[in-house]
Amino acid sequence: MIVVNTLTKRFGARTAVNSVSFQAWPGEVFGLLGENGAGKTTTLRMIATVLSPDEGDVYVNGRSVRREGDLVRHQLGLLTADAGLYARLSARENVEYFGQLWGLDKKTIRKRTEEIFVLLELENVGEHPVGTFSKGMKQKVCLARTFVHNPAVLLLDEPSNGLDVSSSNAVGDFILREKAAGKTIVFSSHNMGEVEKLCDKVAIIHHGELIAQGSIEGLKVDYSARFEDAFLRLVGARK
Amino acid sequence: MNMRDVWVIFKKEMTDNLRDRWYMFYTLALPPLMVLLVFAATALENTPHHTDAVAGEGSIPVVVEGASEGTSLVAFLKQQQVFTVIAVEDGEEALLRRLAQVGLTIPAGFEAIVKEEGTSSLIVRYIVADQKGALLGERLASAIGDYAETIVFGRLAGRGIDPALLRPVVIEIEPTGPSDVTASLANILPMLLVVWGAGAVHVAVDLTAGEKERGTLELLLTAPVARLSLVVGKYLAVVCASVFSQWLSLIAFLVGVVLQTHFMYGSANFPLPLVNLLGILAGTLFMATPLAALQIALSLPRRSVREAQALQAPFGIGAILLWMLLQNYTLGNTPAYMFFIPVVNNLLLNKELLMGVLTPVHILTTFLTCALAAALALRFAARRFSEEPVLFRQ
Repeated sequence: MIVVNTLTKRFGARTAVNSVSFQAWPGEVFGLLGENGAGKTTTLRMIATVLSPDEGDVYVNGRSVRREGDLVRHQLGLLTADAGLYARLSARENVEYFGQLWGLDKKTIRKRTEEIFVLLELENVGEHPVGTFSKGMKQKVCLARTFVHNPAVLLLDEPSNGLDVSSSNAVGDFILREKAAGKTIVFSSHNMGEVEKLCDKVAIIHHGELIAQGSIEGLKVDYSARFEDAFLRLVGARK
Repeated sequence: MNMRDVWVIFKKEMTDNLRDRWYMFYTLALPPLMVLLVFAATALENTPHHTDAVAGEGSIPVVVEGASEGTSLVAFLKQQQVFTVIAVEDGEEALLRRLAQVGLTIPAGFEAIVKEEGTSSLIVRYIVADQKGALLGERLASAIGDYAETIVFGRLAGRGIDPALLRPVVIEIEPTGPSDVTASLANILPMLLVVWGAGAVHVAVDLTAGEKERGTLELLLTAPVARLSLVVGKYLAVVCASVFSQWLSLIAFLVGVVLQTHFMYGSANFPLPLVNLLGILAGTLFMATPLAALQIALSLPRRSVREAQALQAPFGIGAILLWMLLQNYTLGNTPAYMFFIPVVNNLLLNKELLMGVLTPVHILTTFLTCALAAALALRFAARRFSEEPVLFRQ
């Protein structure tokens, strides 16, 4: 479970995230929506302990990111929009490296990697250097790397950005499978169709502030509109 | 710091580096290749023709203007079996046409003046920028000096005076210490080791700014790994790159020296005692430890590999300036405090080792100060790995 409590982050004079609060539960995909520069990535980075909050705190399964960063990191898997890979290493080596960094033993890493590669249809290219991969295949490797240590909490920042339909579907299916396994998933995307398909609840951030949150159906009812129109109306009203 | 994490990171970085063809080429292959090429070019330049000319075992062509005016001198030069006299009308023009690298102008009436016990002057010429020509000019001037001495001896003998009176003191110059080859090594090799050692900066750049550019750094920071472990794992990979680069280039350099001495002097003795060579090989670690830590600390704040690569120039120029600065310090006149300055002390220590000197206190000081400098720079680098503006500078 993730509890985000009045989270604030400033970069100099600019407030990137201003007193944002929400909660995401196990077995739930929580969508973080907003335009470019709204503060979604900064929020995810604070949850992932990469950035430290100026005010407020985040609790991941009861552990504070401010005081217990190491314990929080053990439970997290982060996939960022521009996540890179080591081009000269094979897909398997990329994934196994992160498994080792998360303290898994060799046997567990091998087993997890095999399972994930089968799920993501990477088993035939596991030994190839990822520098030779297409964008979709690279994103699958990134996903495998995020999941290798079987984290309880997943933070996915635009995981299907720039992917073709088939790769995007594979990513979506994987997220749903993890949700069914009881993982807490916070997910950000620009793709409203994908958000509607995957998310149970959403929070809309605009200029660093939380302007709405709730279930997708609830937002549709509140604004008597399709989800995408509701989003545009909310964001447009603040411009 | 967790040693298991350090090992995992180090192992990954080494694997990644060793699969990088450019890294292999520029860091490990190119420096030794260039060293060997330089030696090959020098060896070709020192073919038996040129070498023997300097050593006095062959024939040095000399263009002589006014050869008919100094027949006894020309005959003397021919007797030396070193010089080949080429009589020309215009000595200066003949030199410019490269008929020879050295020339002699004998003035009109030279022979008669000498016979009449008068004084005449001769002109030895060579092309200004031609170092070998200058060397040959000195050799010709020395031979002419011998000729002048025989004339003086003849004149004294004619007056019944023992020519030995002119030589109350006979000077014998005996250079002591290491051989010429070793002394040359001591002059140039320490600087080259700094250049080769500093060359690993692009590995440091790849492991820091490169991680940022690839987007992998953020993922690394979410791993439950202490920042110090992360820095030390990367640091060790840079140290290895620096040490390997120095070792390979050093070996190529020494092979080159052996081959060159073989070509020049017909013998191929190894120019260094084994213990000194081992000392220098171990000293590469002293060099690499503070440099690698500094390179990591400086590369990290850079936004891209391209920006970080600008660091290569100051490291290269710094090595050369350092070497120039230290040219004035020879054995025995180096102030003690210089052995407390990291990298500088390594340079001086290598110089000592190459000159066959082993000073335990200098070795100890160099080791301790380099280790201390590396620890401080690492601490600094680890702290930078925790600074958000450094990690996420846009």
